This record gives sequence, C-alpha cells and structure tokens, in this order.
Amino acid sequence: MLKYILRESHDGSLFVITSLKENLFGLHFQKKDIEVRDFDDDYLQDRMVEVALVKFSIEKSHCIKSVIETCQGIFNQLISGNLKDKILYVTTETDTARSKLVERIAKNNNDKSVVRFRIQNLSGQNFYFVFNEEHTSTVEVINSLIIYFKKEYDIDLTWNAKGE
Amino acid sequence: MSDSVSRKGISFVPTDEITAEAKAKIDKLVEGKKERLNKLVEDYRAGKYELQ
Repeated sequence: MLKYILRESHDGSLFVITSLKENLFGLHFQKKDIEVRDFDDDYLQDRMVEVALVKFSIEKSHCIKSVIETCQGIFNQLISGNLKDKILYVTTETDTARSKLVERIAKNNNDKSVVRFRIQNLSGQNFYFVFNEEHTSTVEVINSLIIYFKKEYDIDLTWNAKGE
Repeated sequence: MSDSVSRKGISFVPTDEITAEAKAKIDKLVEGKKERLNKLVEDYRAGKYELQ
C-alpha cells in the first residue's frame, strides 16, 4: 500500500494518495448535499456518499497496482468504520481508463459483507454502489434503486444475466 | 443474499433504450460531477494538497 494524507473539509474527506515523490490520486468522499441533488428518495438520501477519484499526477503512473490496493484499503476501512451504514457511489464513463480503474477498486474486495451493485451504461455512464450488508439491507437498496431510476428517469432496470 | 453473490456483486441494465429526456437528465447529473472533479484538480493545482 502507498501512503496517503487525509484532508477533512466541510465538503467531505479527501484521501491524497502519494508516492515518495509526488501526489498521485485523490479519493474524495463527498458528504454535503450531493445526495439531495442526485437521489430524490428518502432512503437513498440518508445513505448516499458520493466518491470521486481524480488523478493528480501528470506522469504516467508506474504504480497503478499499488494505487488500487491503497484505494481498496481506504474503501474497506470506511465501509467497516465511519461509513459502515452508508452507500458509497461512484459514476464513471464507460470504457475509459478511469472506469477500468474504478471497476478494479470496487470489484476486488475480500470482505464478505461488502456488496457491489453496478448499473451499466446509462447514457455512457456506469453507476457503482458499494455498501456493507451487515448495516444496510441489500433488498432495500435494490428496491430503492429500481424504484428511483423508474421514477426519476423512467428506466426499468433488470439483472444482467451476463453478471460481472 | 449468499456470500458468493455478495462477493461477486450484481449488475443491472436497462430493459429498453433510455429516452432522450432521461439521457438529458443523466447528462446534467454527470456535468455536475465533472465540475466537482475539476474543482478538486483546481484546488490541487493551487497547492491546497501539497505534500507536507
């Protein structure tokens, strides 16, 4: 794992992932008002925390595996700790370098209690939802997301038979 | 939900093509996210997150 610096602000928590030489990536957990704008649903509003991943380094990264491991470590730490009753959500464009990075961060998780949902390719975007099923009902999340996307966007969601 | 499903995760897809109205709403949502990402980068470039 790489080192990181945590910067707290009124907007949220920013983990600045660093190498010995420079800042590499920022992993931001937004906790102010985002859920109100993005999810007009009581159940989801109370729980959503938007996560943003941004590259700070202008160099081509040579330690991307370590960045992923570090981000996964931060995810696991939060979803088992301060954000154990929250739903971490990330959106990325489909089929970009950033989306592949987010996919790897969200997917590889050894904690059995961590669940990941992905809504694929809505207007070129993938939506990821990661939560701790020991503290958040999987059924309620499924129901809330299906109802919300129908109500807000008139989109009917179904399981992807091809899976992950 | 079984452990195996939990570890694997679940993917959802829309059953039909999404409408132009839905696309416009999602695009607007994404635009807001891009602005927040840009703000993070701008703050970084302004030295807010320099190594200490």
